[in-house]
Amino acid sequence: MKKTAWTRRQALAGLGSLSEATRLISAPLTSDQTPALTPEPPGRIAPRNELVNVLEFESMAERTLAPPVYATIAGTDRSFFERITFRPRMMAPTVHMDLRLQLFGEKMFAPIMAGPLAKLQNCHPDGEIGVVQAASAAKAWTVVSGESSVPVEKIAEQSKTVLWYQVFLEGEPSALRAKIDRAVRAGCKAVCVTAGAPFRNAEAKAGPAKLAATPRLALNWDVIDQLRKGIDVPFLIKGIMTPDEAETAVKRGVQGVVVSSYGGLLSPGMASSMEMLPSIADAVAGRVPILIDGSFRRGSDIFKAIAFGAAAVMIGRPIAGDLRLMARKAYNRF
Amino acid sequence: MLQTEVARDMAHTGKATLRDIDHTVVKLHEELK
Repeated sequence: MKKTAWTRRQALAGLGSLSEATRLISAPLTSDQTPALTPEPPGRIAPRNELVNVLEFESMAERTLAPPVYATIAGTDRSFFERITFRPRMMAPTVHMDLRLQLFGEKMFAPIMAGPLAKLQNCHPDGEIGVVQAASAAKAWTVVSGESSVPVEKIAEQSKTVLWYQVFLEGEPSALRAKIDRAVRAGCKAVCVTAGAPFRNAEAKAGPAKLAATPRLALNWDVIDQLRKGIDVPFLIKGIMTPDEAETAVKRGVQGVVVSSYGGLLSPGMASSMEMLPSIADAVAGRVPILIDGSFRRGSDIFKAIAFGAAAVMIGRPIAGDLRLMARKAYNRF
Repeated sequence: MLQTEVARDMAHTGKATLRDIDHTVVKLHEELK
């Protein structure tokens, strides 16, 4: 009988249909044989319709993009996700699924948001407009970066979804407040301030002099109190990574926290955001919503975060990766 | 894509709505790396 060499993708696709599955099952193998699958050829770029999840997109991005470019969209430590498994329950009625939640008085279609990403036109000319259009189509909320390459008003014009606004705690406080006020006027429904902005890769490479010259606000809670005074939309802090800081944030009146380790830009050896989520959720005890980001690539990652107390998850780098890979319109992975 | 995956996992753990999800649907394996 003629032996057929299958790639892994072809085999997976074949297993999805009865006829192909039957063909594999009926192959005359002896008891000590397993069907031989040819590994994915190195360097092969799979067509988009063969890709089944975000990690596969990331794998293709790694083959397509120059290493420095890929580094800007690659995930970081995901080992903590592997330490969590599900308890299956099959005898429960789940025909009518409902992923909606209520957050700050607005209805969210599913607990997945587009996180803040700076200067997206470096990835694709569509930039933030492409992302907000894709997010709108998927009914996913979007956090506009304070360092967007398109003005927040233009993004708001194209948006059919809820927008939040994110800024780093750096620069002059008055200028920072002016940015926030402008975003709120444009229609952003919440403000997310990233505390303790990490030194960017470019700055770190430039050496100690550049690091020292980078303007940053002296970080303390009084700065946060001052900044949020008079802002009449929910004010969240992004970058909370310990239960005691979460507790302080809640006591200070912050309306939400985002557990975030800055996509691994902190020093090596820091805990991942998912690792810290359970203890932070215990400390917050439901008083304010908790959001999280940090190498979420599968629905199961998101589900695990929800189980440990997150209200929703922000997705960042996979979206930038989409922009880098796509040829035309924003492709959406929500 | 991600929304569908979340819905699938909800179904497999017997949860039809998001608000029903709690820590009982997962097991944390401290010993794994």
